[in-house]
Amino acid sequence: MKSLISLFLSFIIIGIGAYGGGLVTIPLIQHEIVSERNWLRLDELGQLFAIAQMTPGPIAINAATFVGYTVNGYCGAFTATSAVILPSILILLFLTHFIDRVKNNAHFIRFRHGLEIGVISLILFAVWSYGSVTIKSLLDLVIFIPAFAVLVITEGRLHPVLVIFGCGILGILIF
Amino acid sequence: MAAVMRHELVLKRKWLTEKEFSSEMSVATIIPGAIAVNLAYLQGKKLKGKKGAFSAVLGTVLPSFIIILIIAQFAMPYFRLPLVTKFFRGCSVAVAGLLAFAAFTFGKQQLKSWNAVFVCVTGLAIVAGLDVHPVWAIVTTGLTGYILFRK
Repeated sequence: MKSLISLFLSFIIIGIGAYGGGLVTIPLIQHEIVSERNWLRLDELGQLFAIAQMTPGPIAINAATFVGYTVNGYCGAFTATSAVILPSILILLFLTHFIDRVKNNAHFIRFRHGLEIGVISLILFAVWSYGSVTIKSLLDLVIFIPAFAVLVITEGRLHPVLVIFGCGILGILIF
Repeated sequence: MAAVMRHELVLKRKWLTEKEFSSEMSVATIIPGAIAVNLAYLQGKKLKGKKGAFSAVLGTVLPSFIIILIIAQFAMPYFRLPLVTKFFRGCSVAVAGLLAFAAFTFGKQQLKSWNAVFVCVTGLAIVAGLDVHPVWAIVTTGLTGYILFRK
């Protein structure tokens, strides 16, 4: 029961913080799940993100179901998944009219511009915090550099799943 | 995800017009949480009220939920095999590459003025320098942005 309550609270926070799309959930999940609660090891976290990217659906939902199941079976999966969508549902339920009114408000647009840049801060931080634990040897760098280069050169037109899958095959060959 | 929804709702079913869709998309990105879930809620609500909203959210969440449960239950035992471990080690590095690429793309789009760079560095200093929850970095950049971006 105690672990269900902590799952619920952690994923509520992830649901609130996941502003501006899936990749922002990565630093939040790393903070909540690995650093704060020790629910997953770092290599398991890497597996989770790889699976979340390779399967359909939002990363936050995939991650919630996966972590919830690992911590507390089906009940855990259900609790974590409901918790991660609860904040947006509540906001949508009670604040839609309010948001419709403020979305073109000049004050709100300035605040939101700041938020969008904050998303970059978080992703930059995730590159460091997640990257420094994932890239531990020269061999890891041998995978990282071409992956990044291919994405930049194709300007992201190559589907991320292909990049992940390709790097997995490369991993089998070189590790 | 948004492209799939647009195809299904605007082009195929003609439940929403292009304009309604983009207006709802903008609300969906303002609200925290998975954008697909927010969009599903708003569109479901427009079509069939609260019941529609909840069915649409359920329809968006359920496939991921079931797929992940199947993977977690049936595929996890194989994750310890050396070959699979190596595969996932490669995949994990690729995720770092995706993050770096996202930072690169968003940075190129958004960090076009010194004010924007300053806001970004402020957020980075908070999340990396202070031992606080990453959410506070976003809140602070929102406020800093509010102060700096006057037009």
